Amino acid sequence: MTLAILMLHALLGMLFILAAGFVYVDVLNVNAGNVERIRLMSRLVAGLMWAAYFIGGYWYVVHYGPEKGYILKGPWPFAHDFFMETKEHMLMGLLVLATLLPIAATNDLLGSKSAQRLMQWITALLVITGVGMEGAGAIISMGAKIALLPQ
Amino acid sequence: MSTSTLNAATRGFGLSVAITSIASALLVFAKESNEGLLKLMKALTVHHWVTHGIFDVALFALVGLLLSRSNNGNGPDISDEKLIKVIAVGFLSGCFAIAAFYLTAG
Repeated sequence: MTLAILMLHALLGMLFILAAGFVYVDVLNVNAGNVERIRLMSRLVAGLMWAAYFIGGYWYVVHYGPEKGYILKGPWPFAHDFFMETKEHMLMGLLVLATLLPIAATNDLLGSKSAQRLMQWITALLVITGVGMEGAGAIISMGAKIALLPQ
Repeated sequence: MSTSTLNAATRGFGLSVAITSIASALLVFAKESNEGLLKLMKALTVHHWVTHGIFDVALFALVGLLLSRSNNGNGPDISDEKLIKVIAVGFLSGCFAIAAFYLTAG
């Protein structure tokens, strides 16, 4: 069950990145036919981010303690000291940025170049930071794995 | 009078993203270097990270709402280009500050 929660967190994060990338491309080709889809997908991006935050947060607060102990005693203590600490705090900035996306999508996306540029900036930052988060998650998992391998 | 083509909520909550990102990084520095604050944050909820998250979300919502309704309901007087720069620089500054802190603290 613990692993299922963790995998769900990673899966939601991946879907979040894909959805944000989808919005970026859709805004590049904005027209009357896709503007409502952009708004709908923007809400989905924010929803996925909040779901990943709550599920990951639950796992971090309730289940991460023993794993943290293994990592810190293992050969890769930086997996927690740098990657987990940075990830868990950077996530909060990502959360509020993702929340801004559906608000920005309420603007005149067809008539305002600024609204399009803002949407592209937000989604680009979400994708780049999201990929970094996934990478950090992989390093944290590896840190726990190699700590538990027979020496 | 603002020349922005973006609505008041976007300008208000956009500036709030920048402010919250930087405030969140400053709270990281403060709690990691002040044992008393860290203990207080742990005592307020089940975990200091939970308290930190509630602080960030509440700050984002409060600052965003206040800024959106400022200037007689017209929102902050800021150009679109400047708003985009402030959001990007504020968000990235918060991220880099947190990463740099844990890189050097570790």
